[in-house]
Amino acid sequence: MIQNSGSVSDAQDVFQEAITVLWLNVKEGRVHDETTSDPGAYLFRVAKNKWLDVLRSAGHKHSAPMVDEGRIPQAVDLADDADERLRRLQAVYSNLDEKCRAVLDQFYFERKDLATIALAMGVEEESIRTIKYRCMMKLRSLKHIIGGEQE
Amino acid sequence: MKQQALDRTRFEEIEAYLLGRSSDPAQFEKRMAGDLDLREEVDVQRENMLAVELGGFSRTIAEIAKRNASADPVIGPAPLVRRATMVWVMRIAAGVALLLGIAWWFLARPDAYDQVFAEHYVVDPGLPVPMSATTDAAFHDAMVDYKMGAYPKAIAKWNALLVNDPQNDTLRYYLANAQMGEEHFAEAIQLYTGLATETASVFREKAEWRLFLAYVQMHDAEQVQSFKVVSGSPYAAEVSAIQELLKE
Repeated sequence: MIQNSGSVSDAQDVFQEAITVLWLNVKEGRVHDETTSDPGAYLFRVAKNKWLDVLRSAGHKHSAPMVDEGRIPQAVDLADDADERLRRLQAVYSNLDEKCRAVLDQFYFERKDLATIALAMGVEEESIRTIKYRCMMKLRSLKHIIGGEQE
Repeated sequence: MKQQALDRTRFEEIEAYLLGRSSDPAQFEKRMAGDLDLREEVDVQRENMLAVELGGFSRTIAEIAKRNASADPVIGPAPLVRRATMVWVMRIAAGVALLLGIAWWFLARPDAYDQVFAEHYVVDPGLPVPMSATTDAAFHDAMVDYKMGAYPKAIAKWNALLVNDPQNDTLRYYLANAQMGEEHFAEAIQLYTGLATETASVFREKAEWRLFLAYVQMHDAEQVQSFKVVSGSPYAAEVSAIQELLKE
């Protein structure tokens, strides 16, 4: 990427996105055998395709890709599907306030129990349980809205 | 799916199922099969939990990238200098390797409860089976299945015996162990709970210990923390240490 009109910052962004795509695909069981046997190669292909997309986008109209072998189909199909899902999921999550994120992240992502979260946040366990419920209901209602818009 | 608020009990029931903490997942799946509304609620909640996990994951890798960048701010890109370019390539490769490692760790990590269970749960080897068992032949026949790891067969045979001998503590203890082997934790908990209150049973302490481990396996923090063993139990220290560990 650095040799092909990109900066280090671009490279970091693209690799972070590619890793997130890989994470989502593994999480949902949408991976090929070759992906699990060589995740590094898969990442490289996804990142390369992403960068080629960036180069073709409006912001890079004047940058001709040095090597354009075309997008790599197998990695692209999975990555494109995951991209679309990533955007939708991120859109929902971005509507949560900081308090909700703090509680939900710890419970669902870090897999901490309610007592541990309550202790860290200096509140009663029951309060965390209630906050978690309310925040998830907020996500549920956002889902209705986003789902309605898409339909 | 209905747009009205989801009842908290129902929400937590779905949550427990999705987190693998349901006391009876088979029963829940049976209900789902006949309840479209429940199925849709489960799908929405699964998606929302994924959105949260994705948010946490994205935040974590962004923080790592930021830390890496600030740790060595002096080096800058110099595309015309081959050596500097190589340094950058190596840095990015190292960053990718680190992020990959973290990604796989997050996907594969067992949590504290799973670790404790794996470290402490040992399959009970069962009772010796006499070659010429004439009494309790059916019980010993099932014991052979149990020892072979054929838990469904052992469960079926011991359950049949239990109908006529419901108070037999040996039968109930090994049936509970077979249920644990088959990952029927709710059934195992029920049997161990009964045995743990029987002061005259020789299986009392072992049943109590296995009941505790079943709660650990179920990630039932409330039961784990409030669990009390009988006075003089050889497992008291281990239970106490695990409770302390899982508090953190």
